[in-house]
Amino acid sequence: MRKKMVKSQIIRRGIQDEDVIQAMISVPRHRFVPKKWISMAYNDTPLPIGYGQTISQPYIVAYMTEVLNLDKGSRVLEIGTGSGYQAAILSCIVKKVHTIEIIPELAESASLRLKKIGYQNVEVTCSDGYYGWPEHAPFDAIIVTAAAGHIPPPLLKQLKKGGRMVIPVGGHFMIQSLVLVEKDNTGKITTRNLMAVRFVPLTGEHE
Amino acid sequence: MTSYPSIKRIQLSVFLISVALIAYEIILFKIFSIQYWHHFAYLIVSIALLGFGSSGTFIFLFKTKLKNNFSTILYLFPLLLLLSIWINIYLSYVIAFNPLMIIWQPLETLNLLYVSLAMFIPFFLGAVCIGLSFSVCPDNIHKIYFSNMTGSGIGSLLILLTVFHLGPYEIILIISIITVCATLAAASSRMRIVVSAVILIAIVPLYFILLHDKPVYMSKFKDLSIARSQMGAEIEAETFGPLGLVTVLESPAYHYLPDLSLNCPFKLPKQKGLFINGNSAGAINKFTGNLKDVRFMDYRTTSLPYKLLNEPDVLIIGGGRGTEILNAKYHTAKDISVVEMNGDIIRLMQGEYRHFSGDIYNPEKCRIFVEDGRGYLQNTRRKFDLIQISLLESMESASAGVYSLNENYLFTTESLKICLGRLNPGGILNISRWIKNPPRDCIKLLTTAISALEAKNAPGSIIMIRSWQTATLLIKNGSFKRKEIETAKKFCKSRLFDFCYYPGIKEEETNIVNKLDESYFFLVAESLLSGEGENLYNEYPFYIRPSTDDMPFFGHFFKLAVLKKYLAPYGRISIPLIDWGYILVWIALCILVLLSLILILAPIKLIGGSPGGKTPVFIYFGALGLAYMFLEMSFLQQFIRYLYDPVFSASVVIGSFLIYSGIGSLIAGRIGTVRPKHVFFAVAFIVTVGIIYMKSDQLLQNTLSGFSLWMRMLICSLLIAPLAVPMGIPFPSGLSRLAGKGEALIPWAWGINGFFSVIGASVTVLIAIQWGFKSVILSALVLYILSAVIYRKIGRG
Repeated sequence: MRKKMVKSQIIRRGIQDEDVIQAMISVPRHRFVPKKWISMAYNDTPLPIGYGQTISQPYIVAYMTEVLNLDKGSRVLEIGTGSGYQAAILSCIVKKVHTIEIIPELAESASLRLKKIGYQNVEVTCSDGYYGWPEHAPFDAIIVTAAAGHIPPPLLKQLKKGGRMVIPVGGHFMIQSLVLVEKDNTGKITTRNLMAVRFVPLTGEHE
Repeated sequence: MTSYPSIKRIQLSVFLISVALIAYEIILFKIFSIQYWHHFAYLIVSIALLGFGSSGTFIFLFKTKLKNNFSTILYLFPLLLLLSIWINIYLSYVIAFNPLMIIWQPLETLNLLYVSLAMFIPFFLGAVCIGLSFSVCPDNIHKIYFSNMTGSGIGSLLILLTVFHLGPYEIILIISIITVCATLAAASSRMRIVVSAVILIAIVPLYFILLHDKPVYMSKFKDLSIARSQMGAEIEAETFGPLGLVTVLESPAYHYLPDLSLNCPFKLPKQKGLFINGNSAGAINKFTGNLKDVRFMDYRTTSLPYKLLNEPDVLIIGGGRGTEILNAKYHTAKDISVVEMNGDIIRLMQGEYRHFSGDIYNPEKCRIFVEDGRGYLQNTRRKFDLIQISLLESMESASAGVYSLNENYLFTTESLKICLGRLNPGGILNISRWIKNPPRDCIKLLTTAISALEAKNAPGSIIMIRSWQTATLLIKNGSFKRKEIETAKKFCKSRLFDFCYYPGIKEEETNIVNKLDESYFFLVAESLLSGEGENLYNEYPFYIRPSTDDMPFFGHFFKLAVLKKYLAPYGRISIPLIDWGYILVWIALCILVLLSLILILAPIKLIGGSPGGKTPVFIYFGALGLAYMFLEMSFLQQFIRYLYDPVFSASVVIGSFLIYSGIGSLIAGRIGTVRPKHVFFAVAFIVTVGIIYMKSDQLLQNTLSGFSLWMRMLICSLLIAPLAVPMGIPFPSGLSRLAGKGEALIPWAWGINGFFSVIGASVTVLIAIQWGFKSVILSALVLYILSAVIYRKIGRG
């Protein structure tokens, strides 16, 4: 099921990073969704996980991960742990994932779930993601999984030079685009608006 | 022979049921806007109103039994109506309907239907009572119709009076009491009177036990629900008013300032979340009075005009949480005027949050006007150096296309012209909007602005800049000078903002810091200013033609091309790019037409050879249902521009239309036998008055602007009379004609009229979006003419 999902939703839509593809194949998404939605865990859709939060559409998870240009040595900060699925995907690719969730119930359940499945390199905390996690800064990459009222200045400070941060724009069920914030080696900041559909190469049956 | 209550008691019962039904419909819309989002509220209430249409079919199918038990039904059904209203409140807490899942999971539609059908029952029960009254009193149809219309009119006025002071469930209590009174009016035995009296006495304590202080259920996916679930969050203040539920949330994790520069070196102060109907409406900033604490204000796109003007006289439209007032204070504005139409927000800011916000709404420090922005601009003779229109809705709502059906008279060509007319020479109009992807809001703002300026003035008078998610448009009364452009360049460079347009800009100067995949804004401005507008409108995948007073749907961007360009090749990942509000109207219309056809056509076979002829009856009562709704809704829109307030406009227009039509019905009843020439005369009057009002729209707007609100309400109500009185004649006259020659068709005709009235609401929106409100009025007049022609054919065997 996972392989089918990856083939039809991820690879066909142009995700090429082999690490991301392998992570999407290896992480059991069905263990991150509520029982009610297990049968739809591998469908091409976001799903509710409680407290008004969602687990993103698989393609969005893969796309956000790919645009961060991660490697085995990367240290990543995630804002908005949710179910823990995105953190699990990241943990398969990078050295360490620090993830912050502001809803106590979700932070606790995600932490337990990640430990139970065996993701050892993920650290979960319950706090306000706006301030980042200065004790572990700077980070090679920051991923914000919920749309933000604005880009928190403390996060930009905690991003390494040469690092990347990705933020979704839109609502929980309506991620319209991703904003990629890049800090170059001189510390200069630029943003790029990545519209999912414009960046999808027309491969497979769409060709 | 079966004995019925006296006509007076039937009339009183119909009147009270009508009051309760219309009040319930309006309050239901408000409750659903809090529970979900207003476009879903529209969808649910539309389906629920099918109860009116299906009541006709029900009466037709079981007419003998129902007529024989009329007294019991007129007593029992209002009681069941009351019960169903209370059960529906309970169901709203237990039905797990998630509107946002509909587009991803079609099965969620079943939950929508479940909710809608639950809401359908009260309307069905009430409509059976009214429809059956027509059937059992064929000689008093005009009187029943009079009670029905005046009851509905007074019900809508009741909401106007109560919504300022009472919460939604308190209004439900009043509706419940009115419903029980309807049963008292219909009670034909001592036992029934006692039962009704007991219920009447019990209902108040029951309300206090079950509903008092109970918050309206809110979807877990609304901004407020999400913010509430965060650590340390709690609701501090809540108030319900005509413009919705205003909530203030205390949360250490609430941070909001969408147009802040990425390199702002200053910390944001403590903020409290402000929500309207559970949708984010920004944040109230803590202000101690020390301007150093709000230095971040200088790092917003909205602050650019302050760099170009010296101590300006500022008008802020949409004062809301006070951020722009604070911005004006920070930039040492000479004089600040604030227009905010939501009085509840001002009361909170001047009351509980006076100290927290630094008393920024102090009337001694700024002029405060509690009214609609367009209305204020229309009426004032003052001129300003800077008119600031704030970012008025949340990104969540904007991105979901929630506002695509909202009429917005602030962002129309005519309105922007008025704004420009209120600027001193060299003054600036400053508007901020979210950037959607692909861009459409800001593009439409640009096209509307250029249309308002007219091509010859536009190139020199526009500057548009953007941050990573918002854009700010500056329109100057005059041309921007080179020095001002240089100042703007420095401002943008130091704050990581991009230029979209300035006079003389080159493409390479755009899209540098916050990169979009194309220089959309520059390309659009270049096309428009070089006279290529028509090509642009046709080729752009979204609807970006300038918004006008006749087509005031600023949030409407949908074109079929979007589906072709995005949905067809990219499937589900493109779903968020589509504005679903517009599509939902079509979905609502399809559901309504489908259900209507089933419920209207189904009984046709059963009618068999009954007298009267079915086709003329179908056309006559269908045309009347559509036409009445077309005119009522169009005038509601037109009168918003006379009254400058959608709540007052809705109450005055709906209330006046219904009451005057009731009077029209009574007049027709006095005539005795209404002949075709009478109906023709009434229609001729409707057509003449309709055309006069269409032609004198601007004149009326200008003339009325000088009067006070209450005077304007009175004049508007009187203006409706010449139109609405004759509109009350054709329907009861048609029923009376059937009573003579085809009585069996009366309930069917009632049902057809009900169905088409409900469909009329959706069709009005769709015609207005496509061709404008004047086209809706013209369609209504044509339908009235058609009904006059058909009238002589109804009731013929």
